[in-house]
Amino acid sequence: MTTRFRLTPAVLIAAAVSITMAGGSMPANAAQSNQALLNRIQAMEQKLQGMEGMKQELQLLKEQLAKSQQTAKEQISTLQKKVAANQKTAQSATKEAFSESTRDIKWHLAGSGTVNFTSSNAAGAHDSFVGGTFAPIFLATYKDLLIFEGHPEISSQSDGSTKVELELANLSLNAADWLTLTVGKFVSPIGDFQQHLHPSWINKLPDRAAGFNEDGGNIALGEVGIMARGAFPVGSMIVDYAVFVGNGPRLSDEPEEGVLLEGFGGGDNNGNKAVGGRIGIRPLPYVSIGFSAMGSKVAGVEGSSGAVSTGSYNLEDIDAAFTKGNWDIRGEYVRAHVDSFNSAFDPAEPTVMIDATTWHSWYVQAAYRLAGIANSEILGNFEPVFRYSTQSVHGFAPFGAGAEDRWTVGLNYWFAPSLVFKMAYENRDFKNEPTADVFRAQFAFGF
Amino acid sequence: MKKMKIYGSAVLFLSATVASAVLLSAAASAQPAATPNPLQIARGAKAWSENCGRCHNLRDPKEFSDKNWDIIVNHMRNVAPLPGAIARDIRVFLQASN
Repeated sequence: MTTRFRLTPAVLIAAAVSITMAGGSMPANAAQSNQALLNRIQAMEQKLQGMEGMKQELQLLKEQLAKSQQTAKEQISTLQKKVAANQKTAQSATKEAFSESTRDIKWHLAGSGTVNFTSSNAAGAHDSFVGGTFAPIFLATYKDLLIFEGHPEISSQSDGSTKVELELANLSLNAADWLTLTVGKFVSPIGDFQQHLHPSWINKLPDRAAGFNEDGGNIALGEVGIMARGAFPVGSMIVDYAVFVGNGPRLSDEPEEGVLLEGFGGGDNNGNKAVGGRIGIRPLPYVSIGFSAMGSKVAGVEGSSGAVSTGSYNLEDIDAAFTKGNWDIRGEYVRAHVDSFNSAFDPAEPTVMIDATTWHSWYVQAAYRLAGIANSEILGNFEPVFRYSTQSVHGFAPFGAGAEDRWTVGLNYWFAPSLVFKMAYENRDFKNEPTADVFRAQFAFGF
Repeated sequence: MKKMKIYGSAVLFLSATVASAVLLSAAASAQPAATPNPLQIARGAKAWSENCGRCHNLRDPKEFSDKNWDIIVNHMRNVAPLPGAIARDIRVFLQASN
């Protein structure tokens, strides 16, 4: 068995003690050397202890670094995911914006919706929620050059049926800054009420002015033909114009409706075209004046017997408006005249002589939005309205069935620029029927 | 006489087609610049307040998207009617305020 010699602290101490003991006989410089050696050993031990501490400290730092690296990796990963998501959103939004705003062909669905309530003391009248009306306007454009306008009107009737009418369908070419050419069925440019003010969310009252109704008389509603229209500045003024040629009016098969000017697209019933137009002047931004005229002929309808002839039909109109601040004051006068002619109202009956007839219709209207005097937002949304309108008919008696003088006072509340609730009281003084008082309420929304 | 009327109509519509093509071409070359300038926006704001309120309440620019304003202003240019340059100013203002 071999014993290995190991240099342990005990051995070192024993050696040091031996050396010390032997040192009694050693020279003084050897003792000093041993002491120095001991000092060095102690210093080394201290260094070793220090290094041990540093090692622990390094280990700690290493662990902290590993943790930080892991956290950083996680944060980077999260950020990368967020950036990727944002890039995707941005790309999608850019694509959407690009595709929507820069396409050559664009379309939009505008229009209005209306619901009504009516209460009247006229004989046979009942308080009624009058069926809603949906009047969409489909618009499609090609660049800034062409625009198509299609406007059906869908309304529910008292017998439960639904009525669908094609109000407008036309194509307009913006040929120059001052000229647009329109073909098809378009709103008649005669006057101001029918042209600009009749949509329910624009009209200040729940109904139309007397004589400016949709069921015949002397108001030009629409036309089928071609129209040149535009506007141009003259100094600080703006002048607008419209000239059209169309199929013109027809005699209604209901005698009380008289002559209809609705725009008949199924073909003309006589060879004479209606020619007319309007010129409007805006001398100040808040003042406008318009003059309109139309000339045409109305063809008689064949009956079971009797002569048939054609009567000349002429119409003149003047309109004016003052729309400054919270005030909206306007009025319009229209005169229509048809010469005597022979016609039947029912093809199964003989023709009759229709006397020369003249219609006069006019209205004045004033509305004031209380925002001009009220600090309260709610009060400011109220708008009182007053209108006087009248229609008189001279000539063929059945044409004058609807002649009346009408006073209307109303109060509107505007929830938004195109969302309004209207209430109105009317006094209707008919020329051929008893007077009637009517209350109307209407919700109208333009979009 | 009827034949003459038919020939006359054909000539009239052919002339109208050629005239439309010429006008369309001229109008297409006069398309407005894509980038509006602040002056145009200011002109548009003034024109918007002076013209749109003539018939109806002023509509908030935020009611419709830029694309919709393109179409609506194009339509209103014909309905109002408005000079083309003024309509473009109004459109730029509405889209800039949207």
